[in-house]
Amino acid sequence: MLCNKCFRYKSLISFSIMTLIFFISCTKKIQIEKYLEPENKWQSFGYDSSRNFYIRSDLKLPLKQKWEVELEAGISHSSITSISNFVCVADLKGNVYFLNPEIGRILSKISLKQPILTSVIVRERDLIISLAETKNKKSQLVLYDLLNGKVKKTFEVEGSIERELVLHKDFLIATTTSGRIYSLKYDLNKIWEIQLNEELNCHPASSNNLFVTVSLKGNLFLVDMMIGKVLKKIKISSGVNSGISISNNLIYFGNSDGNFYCFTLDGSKVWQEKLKASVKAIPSIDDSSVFIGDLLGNVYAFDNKTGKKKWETSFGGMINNSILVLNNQLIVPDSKGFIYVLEKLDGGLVQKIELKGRVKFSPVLVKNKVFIGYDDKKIAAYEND
Amino acid sequence: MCLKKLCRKIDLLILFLLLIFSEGQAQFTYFGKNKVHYEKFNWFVLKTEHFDIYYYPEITEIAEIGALIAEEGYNELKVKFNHQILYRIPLIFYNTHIHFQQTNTIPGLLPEGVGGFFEFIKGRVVIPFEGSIEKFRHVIKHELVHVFMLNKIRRIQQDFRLTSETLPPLWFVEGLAEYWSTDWDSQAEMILRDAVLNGYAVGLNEIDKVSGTYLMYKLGQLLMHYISKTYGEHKILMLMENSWKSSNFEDVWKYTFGVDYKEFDRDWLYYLKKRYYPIISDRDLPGYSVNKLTNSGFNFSPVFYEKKNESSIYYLGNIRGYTSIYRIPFVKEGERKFSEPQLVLQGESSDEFESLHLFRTSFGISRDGRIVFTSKSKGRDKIYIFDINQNKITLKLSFDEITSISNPSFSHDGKKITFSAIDNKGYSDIYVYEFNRSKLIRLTNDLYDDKTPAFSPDDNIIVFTSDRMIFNGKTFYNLFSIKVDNFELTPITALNQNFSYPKFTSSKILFTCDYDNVNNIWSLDFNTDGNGNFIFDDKMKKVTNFSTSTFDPFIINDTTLIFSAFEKFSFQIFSINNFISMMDSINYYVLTKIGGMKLHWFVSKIDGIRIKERYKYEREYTLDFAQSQISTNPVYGTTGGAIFAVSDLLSDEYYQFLVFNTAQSRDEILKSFNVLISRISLAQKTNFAYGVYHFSGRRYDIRDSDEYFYERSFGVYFALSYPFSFFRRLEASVMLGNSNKEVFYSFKNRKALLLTNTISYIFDNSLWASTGPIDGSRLLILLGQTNDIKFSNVNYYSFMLDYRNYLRLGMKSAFASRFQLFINEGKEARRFFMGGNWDLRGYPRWSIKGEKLWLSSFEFRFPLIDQISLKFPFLTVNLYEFRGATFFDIGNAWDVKYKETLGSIGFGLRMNLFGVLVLRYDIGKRIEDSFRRLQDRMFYQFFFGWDF
Repeated sequence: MLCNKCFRYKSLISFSIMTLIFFISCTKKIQIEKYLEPENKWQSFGYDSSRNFYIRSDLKLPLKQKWEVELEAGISHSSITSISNFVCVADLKGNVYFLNPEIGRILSKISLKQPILTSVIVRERDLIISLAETKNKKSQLVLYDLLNGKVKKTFEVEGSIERELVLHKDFLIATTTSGRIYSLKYDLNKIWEIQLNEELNCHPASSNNLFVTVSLKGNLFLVDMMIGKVLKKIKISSGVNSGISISNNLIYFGNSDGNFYCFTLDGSKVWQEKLKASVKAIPSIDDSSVFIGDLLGNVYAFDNKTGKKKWETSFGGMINNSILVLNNQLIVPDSKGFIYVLEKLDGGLVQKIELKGRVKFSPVLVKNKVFIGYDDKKIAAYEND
Repeated sequence: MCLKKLCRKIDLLILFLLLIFSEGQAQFTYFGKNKVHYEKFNWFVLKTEHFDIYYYPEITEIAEIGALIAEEGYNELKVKFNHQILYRIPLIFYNTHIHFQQTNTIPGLLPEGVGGFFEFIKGRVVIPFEGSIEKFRHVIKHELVHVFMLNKIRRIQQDFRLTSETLPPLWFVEGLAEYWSTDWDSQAEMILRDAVLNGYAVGLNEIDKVSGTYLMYKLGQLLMHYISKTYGEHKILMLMENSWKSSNFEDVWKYTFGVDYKEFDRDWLYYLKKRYYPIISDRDLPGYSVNKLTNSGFNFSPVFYEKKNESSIYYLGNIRGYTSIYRIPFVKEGERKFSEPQLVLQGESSDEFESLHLFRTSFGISRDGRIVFTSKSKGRDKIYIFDINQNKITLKLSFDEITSISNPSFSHDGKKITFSAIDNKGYSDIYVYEFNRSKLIRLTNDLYDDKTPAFSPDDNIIVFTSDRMIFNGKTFYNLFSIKVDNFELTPITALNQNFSYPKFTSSKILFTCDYDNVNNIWSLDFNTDGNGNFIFDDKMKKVTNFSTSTFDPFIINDTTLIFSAFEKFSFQIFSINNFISMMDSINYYVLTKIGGMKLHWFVSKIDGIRIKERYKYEREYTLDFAQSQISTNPVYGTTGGAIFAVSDLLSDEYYQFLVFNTAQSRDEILKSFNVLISRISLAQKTNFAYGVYHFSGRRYDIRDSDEYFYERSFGVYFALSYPFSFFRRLEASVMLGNSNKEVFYSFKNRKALLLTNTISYIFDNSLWASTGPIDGSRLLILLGQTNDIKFSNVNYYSFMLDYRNYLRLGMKSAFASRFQLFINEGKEARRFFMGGNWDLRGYPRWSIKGEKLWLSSFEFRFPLIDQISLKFPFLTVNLYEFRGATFFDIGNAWDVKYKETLGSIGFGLRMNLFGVLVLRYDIGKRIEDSFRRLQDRMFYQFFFGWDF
């Protein structure tokens, strides 16, 4: 009799635990739905597909850390994306996290078990996630249904997607390291596919239906986004391991020789400047200037039309992530483990924030909070109290 | 395994101490050579932005130069690697290789070929300064490449949460370090030319065959050049950044390049052939074109002497493993016959001639048959004069202000010698020593690297090479002359090439120069004016036109040239009977000076702004290792414990902690704690250790007559080791401990307060081959006494004699003999044991025990199979150096009465497995019945272990 009672209690306890787990899971899903209001979004890397890293906003200073959260694995050189009330970030183990931007709590997590080297695209109720190729699995794009919490569709590619996607209002474009370019609708149905026959390690950008990338052989490609036709191929000095930024019909990028270029959308070189070291970051552009850092920790400001240097400053570290440009300030991430807030006008140092590790993310500003990612597996938010 | 660990606690302690103090080449024995700390370094720390630089005051200037080089290297490499290192990198600088060999940052002995290293435990980079700023820069950057690579790959593996830490293969690690730290120079070109032209260059698919060799370094370096040229330098970084894709580097390679090793080799090996095959269309290999005088080993610095119509060549060689001075008869051209070298003076086996620096120095000879050479002896280099006619050393010179000496040579009148030397500050300069006045004169005194000096025919000037010329930011070694009386310095050449080894004839200087990418011998005419001033021609003429490099030219009677040259991965001695006619036939001239060469360049040091701090070194301890273990066995149950060690950054002082518990129930936990805490000090010449211990638990100890018992012991110990030299040392230990022993099954309870004293003398100058010693000898004599000073329950003395001799019979064969006599005599004396592959073969392992033991072994060791290749469809396995031995063992162990003599004879096979351990298999027959008959059947024993 005693045994029967024990058995009953045991069953009751098990049932209760399982019920609790169920409700917790359900609760998480419901919370996500509450956050899906598409306002104030930082939808993709660089803010949008022209990758200007420019937001017309002011920032109150000084910044203080509001929260810090640790992920399960490290992060690549990318950034967070944000839709209104949550931020989204991916790690190199294939986890996608949804964080409460106010307190940094992990609201939910998706495990896809393949490295994610790019930022996560949030579009309406779906996520678009690129998974890099591993030894045993092919690279693919994943369309994830946020409401139902499941993978809607996948699209396998030849090569590996390790650079940021380009978003058009009707379709997206993905590039692979082996030089393939795919255009897909947002339901991951392919529109076109081309092979450049040159390796790509550059974050591409787009503007005016033109897709722009540079290969590792040092060829600048201008591609018609609508039909997938290479319009022009222009030889520059050496390969590009950074990324493209486009503003006012001008293309900007730096290469591994330390050359910094400005081209028109039809492929004519406007100006070129020599920096002191290689460039790994995508240039950041506002209405009159372009800002770039090099691997020796120098930060430059050039007139975006003439290329005339406005100012230059140095921190001795390494700038391999993009600078965030605001109305009056620059947020400069230094791989050595610092964030610098500079006066945009003259590069004067306003604030220096020390982090615990190498900066990995380009900073993003959403609702007066600056979001940054750094080693070891950390995401943090800074704001003025 | 756990059982044995429990049993041998005290002996392990002593063994452990001995291993710490001595170089542990022999497993589980007490021999080994000594790392002698002749210097007491007074360390300081210089903090820069990224480095903590450890140095001593004498080399402050070198440290500041190195600091600047390191910071510049850091900035360059962070861009190449696209990576920052966020911890402060410890750099430890030493002056000369002699000081460097005294470092405790690495436990083993450092061979002469090691130019610096990066060790993983504390991330230290340890580098000697050897007189050349450019070489210093190369080594610092080389090691920094390792630091960056390891840090970057570890970061990637952490980011991707990869469980196994796999580094790229050694050829990539070292090849990249060379590629990103130095230019492709004449030495690299020499190695690759020889490898390709003589058919031993390998592709990636077979690069394991040359793993760890200098060829691997240079193949790797050239491969990086090839990748950069063919695919782009970005591919090198991509190989590292793609390392997360697979733990197999070949998979990562295939992903990055799109081809596997085999396909890559097709183009890579073709590239090597295209690059090097055309060279011999208009150049010669010395072995095919001139007279070859030696045929094996590495041989340098030939000099000629004629004694009673017997012409001989003396040279430095290592044919038998020890670098020594050899003699061969001088063979005239046409008589292509190799004479067996005669040993004149053996190096590397005695205190006086600890190292003859095979690759670093040459020697000289006077007209009356005196050889001047340099050897390391007790902490610094000394100069020796060896008289050929008397066949003995007639003079030894040592200078307190000089640490390292090289390239000594006589004046023509034989009254003086000149040499280059590195002083206590690190300056490499030219000196003259006058025998008559016993006076040392310093001719140069600066940071430029001055070397290979030679007297002019009238002994008034010395010509030497120096790196004080600079061209487009790069330094070059050119020829300079300096007057002995007034130190007036004049450049002779001013080329953007490197010169070395000047030697005078009556009208010319001969020297080597890398004008055509390898070092050939060149000639420069001179005259003298009325005032005795030397006037050198403005054109130098090519004497040899080899595809490989030459070294140490020596002229006989102004017509015959002897020299060393690199061929088939060895250095051999060659001769040219009439070098003038060879020079005329080549008929190639080059101007000795070009515009744009600048004399004197400023040596930059780190400036005060970039120095963050400078202070005296104080010890801060960090963890070296920590390991825990839990084990269980059916007899003794479960035990668990941990061992960890901490040391200071220079590893001069260690603290080690061993903790484990053998409790079988909760009640026993406290009393079953086993603890050993030790402090070990290696900072000074006398190394010492002391500690406390508490051991408690059931033991099975075959050396105790009770064998199976419970013992609780606690006490203190002190041990020291004093090395007389590299080969000899004295060890002593004192241990005082309380012992309470309960013997199972006999209810015997023994208490004792044991005081154990030992003193021993160890000598070891053995030379090792792949499976064990092959030359030299080893000796241990130990005296000890163990007393129970409280209860008198234990009282015995100990005597141990272990002598081993290795008579060299050939290059790879030897006759080894061993004699051991071990005696413990007295009350509760412990037993020795033998039996098994390591001693008395044919008998079960450790089956023969006694308080007295004697053993003699005689073994003929010989090579059997050089290489076996097993080619599977998916894998090729190469096994090297199978060796054979025939043996005879004899001995026994006894307590009171000696019963009979045991023995065995047989044959054995040994194989060194990847340099980690030696597998051994013995078959034979026991000699039984007091040596009256052989065992009927054979015995077969398989185990691991080095030859005795």
